[in-house]
Amino acid sequence: MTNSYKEITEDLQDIIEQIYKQEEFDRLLAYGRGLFSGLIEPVIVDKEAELDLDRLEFTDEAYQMLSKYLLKNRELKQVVVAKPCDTRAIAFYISENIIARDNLIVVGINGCPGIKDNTACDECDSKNPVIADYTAGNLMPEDEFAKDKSDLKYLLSEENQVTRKNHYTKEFMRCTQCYACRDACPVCYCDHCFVESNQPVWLEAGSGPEEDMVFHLMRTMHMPGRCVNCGACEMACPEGIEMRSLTSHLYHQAREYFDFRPGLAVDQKSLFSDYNEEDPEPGFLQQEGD
Amino acid sequence: MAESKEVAKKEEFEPKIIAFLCNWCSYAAADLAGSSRLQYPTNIRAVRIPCTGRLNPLIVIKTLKKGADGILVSGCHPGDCHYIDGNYYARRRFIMLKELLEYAGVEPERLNFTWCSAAEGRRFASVVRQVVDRVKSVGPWDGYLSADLMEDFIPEAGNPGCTEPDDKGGVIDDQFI
Repeated sequence: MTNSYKEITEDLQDIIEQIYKQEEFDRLLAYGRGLFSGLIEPVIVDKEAELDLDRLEFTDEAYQMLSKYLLKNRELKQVVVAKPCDTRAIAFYISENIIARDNLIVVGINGCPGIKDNTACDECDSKNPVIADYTAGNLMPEDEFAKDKSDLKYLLSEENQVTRKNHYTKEFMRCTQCYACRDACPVCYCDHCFVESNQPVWLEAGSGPEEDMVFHLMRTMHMPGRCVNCGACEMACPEGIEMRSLTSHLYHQAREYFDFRPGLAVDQKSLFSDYNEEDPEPGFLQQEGD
Repeated sequence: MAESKEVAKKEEFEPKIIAFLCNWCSYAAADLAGSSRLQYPTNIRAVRIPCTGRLNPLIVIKTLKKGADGILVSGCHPGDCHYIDGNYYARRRFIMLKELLEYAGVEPERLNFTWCSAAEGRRFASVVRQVVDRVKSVGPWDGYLSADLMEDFIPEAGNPGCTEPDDKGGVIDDQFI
């Protein structure tokens, strides 16, 4: 149950026209056709500049996460067109006090029809925006995982340990450590990233197969409690590495163990900055009778 | 013959286990085990940390990369933390770290997490025995790379040049490489 891209595009154009008339803001972030490439690109327009409304569009190629683009100008008042996963990232920003809610006008997309070639959309669990001032399209019922989790072949939970190790070694061997996955990720926002840290050195210089593996494990370890399962990392990877199955696995496990999903509310505590005394202890060493 | 050699090798294998012990409980438990002359294997290398909440999960990833065969993290019992709730945070982090590493192919036996209070010297000794047994059962840790895949990437000794015929049917001479 989703809206069509055409409906959403028409709605978006109406809403943005309305916002231009009514609201005070500095900058607009939306999707539109590129002037030269003909591809869907982020369109960033200041209020004073002239905007060609017909240029704005939302299609299945709108894979960029506009929420990431908000971070550069946090002090400006920005209007952003946000997919449901974007709104979850924005809710996460607000809960972490990175961006003030007053500085944002969120145009959410209801009943997001999904993005082409993005495996994350197969396991999408938020079809409607979490926070929005305006919404385009009709509200759709939130259907939990549209597909059965066992249908998702890239999730390797069923495989044994050796198969998984082989799989990830093979995948990460192609990594050139360009950090596109980090740069595309809407919830990676640290000024000082561990990959560039020289005190302490988490990641040694050079890109060997083992360093690649360590990089991906360390990157993934930052993700539980933040990853909104948007698939931007995998879409950005120039080598087509399937790294999202790791973060996705942790996303589902965090949900199972702690009933936690990031970015569902603006006053939510993140996974690792909260605890419950009744948390499970799977696989912990138990006391032997001695 | 080869089999028996392998078995002998496995029996000789003494794992290197890095134990991250909380200053207030488990390090004192290790101390107590020592001062009460309790015998336990010498495979652990103790690292004293202020609290298990201080243990950055990346340190564990890096420790395994640097050649440790196993990890033991031990802190105060839940509710008894010197810093009130440090070990509750650590617990969540460690559960996710364990999930991640197991998913990426690290044997669960290598990652051990437990609680030991300062009075539990006996328990600490038994935990170390248990951990050493667990790590011995999975053998030496050969890094994050899958060994059977790596064989294709390491050139064989004694065959430095390429003697494969190229697509024109000729053989590439060593001197041009």
